[in-house]
Amino acid sequence: MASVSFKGTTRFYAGVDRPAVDGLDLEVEDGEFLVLVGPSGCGKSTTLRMLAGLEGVDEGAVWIGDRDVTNLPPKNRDIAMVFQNYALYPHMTVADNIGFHLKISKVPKAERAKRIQEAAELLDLTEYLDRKPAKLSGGQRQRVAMGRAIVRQPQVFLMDEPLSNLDAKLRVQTRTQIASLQRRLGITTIYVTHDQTEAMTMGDRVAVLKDGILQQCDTPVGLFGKPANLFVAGFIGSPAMNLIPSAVTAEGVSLGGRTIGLTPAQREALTGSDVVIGVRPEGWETTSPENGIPVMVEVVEELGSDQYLYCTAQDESVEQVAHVEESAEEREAPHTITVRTPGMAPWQRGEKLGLIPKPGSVHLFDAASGERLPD
Amino acid sequence: MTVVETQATAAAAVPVRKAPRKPKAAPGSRKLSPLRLLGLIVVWLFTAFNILLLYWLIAGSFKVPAEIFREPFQLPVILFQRGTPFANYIYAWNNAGFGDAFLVTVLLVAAATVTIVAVSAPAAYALSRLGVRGSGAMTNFVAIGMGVPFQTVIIPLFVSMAKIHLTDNLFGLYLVYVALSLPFTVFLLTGFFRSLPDELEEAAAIDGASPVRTFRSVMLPLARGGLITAMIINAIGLWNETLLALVFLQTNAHFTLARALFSFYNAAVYQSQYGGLIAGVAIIVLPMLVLYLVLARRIITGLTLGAGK
Repeated sequence: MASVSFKGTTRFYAGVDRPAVDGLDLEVEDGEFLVLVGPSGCGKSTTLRMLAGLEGVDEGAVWIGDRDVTNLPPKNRDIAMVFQNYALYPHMTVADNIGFHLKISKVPKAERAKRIQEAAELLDLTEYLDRKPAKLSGGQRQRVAMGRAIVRQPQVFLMDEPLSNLDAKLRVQTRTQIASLQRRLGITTIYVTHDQTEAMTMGDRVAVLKDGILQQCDTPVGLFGKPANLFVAGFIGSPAMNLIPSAVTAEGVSLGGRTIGLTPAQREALTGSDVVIGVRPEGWETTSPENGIPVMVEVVEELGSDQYLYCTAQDESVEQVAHVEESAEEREAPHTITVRTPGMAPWQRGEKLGLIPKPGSVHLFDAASGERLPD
Repeated sequence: MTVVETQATAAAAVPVRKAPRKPKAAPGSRKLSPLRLLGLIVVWLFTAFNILLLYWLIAGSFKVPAEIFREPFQLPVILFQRGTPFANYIYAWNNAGFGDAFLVTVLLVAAATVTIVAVSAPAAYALSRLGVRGSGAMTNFVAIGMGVPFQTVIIPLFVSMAKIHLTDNLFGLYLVYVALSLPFTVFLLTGFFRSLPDELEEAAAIDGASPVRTFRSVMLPLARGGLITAMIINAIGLWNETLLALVFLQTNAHFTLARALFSFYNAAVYQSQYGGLIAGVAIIVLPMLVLYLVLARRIITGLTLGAGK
């Protein structure tokens, strides 16, 4: 078991001038479960592959424990990896798949059998040990891939979207299993996903990447409660945070006729004259249209426990902004304001209501730089 | 009434549903377009022609010459009436020296085929998977070798082999066979290795396997289908190979089957033993046909199934 550190780690791909991972500085504690999350192409898989030794490091270094592994081949790094499509050896049985590393490192046969058995018991695979991967279901293959990793008792586990090939229900189940297994074994784990729910539920800490640059690394609570910039604010949380631009006046910023005061520190930190106000769907209080920001309900999404109202602003100054770079289709669609209300509420499409942000649920960002203003 | 009985009556009450013998095809896919019709006709003509030829060959090998010419497509009669149906085969086997030639050919083809695949597989693996600098250019260079008709290099090849005293020598012919078959086989196998998933190699690397170990324990078993294909193609090609055998072999004792048949052809035609000649051809053709039928099943599809997802 060991800590992992990235020290200014940079990776370029041939023919692309912008680095896939740009000067990544990240410390992962011993025994920690760190999730790397971000949209496709943000460099999260590249980061993992650099740590695995499957990808070269162009600048900076990668350390595991007190060893600089930047130039070590994968087999000398004492890591285990679970691949997105599992990469099981199709011609070997489950037992051989799990024990392949032990066989290569010349672990005696009896010891090998014992460790395979232990791993299989841990993962509920004992009855499948003689089968070939083709005869297993998706979930069983996923467990074999996990077994191949844990049988080695490595210093670090690497997981590259290991749940993306499972169906929704199994994914939720396996998510908890992996997290509890990791806590039980206490092995440092780096987990890559593009699914922010997975990131929030599994990680001790979550590192959000975008365009190869680390945006924020914090606990799920920290990430959700105090997003460091507009990107993190829009990326973490589902449905996404409402982001509404507003101009700064002498009194503060106005949101639907109400004024939110700015602290001197916040004014100090401003780089332009505009801010973006962020309010999560659950941060709204509903009232009559005269008392808050007047909106009209466009769509009602009933989930039973919760209800999401997608509303359009009746006042043009309250236009939602794009929080992430968007595709052409997304840009064309009207940006609605999302409101979470208790489930089974009687809201109907076309109804008008007013919105007031709850106290303490307003996030302020500098519109020009995208950075969070100090609280 | 017990539960079992209830179930039984319920089962009896429900009318038995019968699945259609053949599930209905997607709409539009079964339409007989002119192109499809033309394709069907061409395919069936081609198949019919080949089956007819095979039939003619096998039937002819049991006929006397008069039957072959007068009733080319009837079933053989006369030899069976005489009670010596295999007379042609016996004649061919005894007169053409097929006994020795058979042994020589089996050994030569087996040795050459195994060598070709044993050399080509690592070469193809290195060219397609190890990311060696210039591997693309080297693969193209190997591919150029396929474009050179071997007939054009026979004379220089013979001259150089003669200089090192390897003409009229089975080892010499073995070398020539291996050398001339490499480009195609390497090229075939590079395509095959390239199609195998990258993750398996990466998984093996993380599991601590060296490149040699990865090749031997992971990639080679997965490529078994490709290796068997390469072996069959080479075996059939070399088994039937005549021109090189004709040029390089002079002594009867060294003759391969194809070369022996060539000599036998002259003798049989001279003696008007057309039945025996056809039997001689059948002796050469049938083992390859059997080999193909047996091994074609082993060109295993689905060996890579289960690697992913």
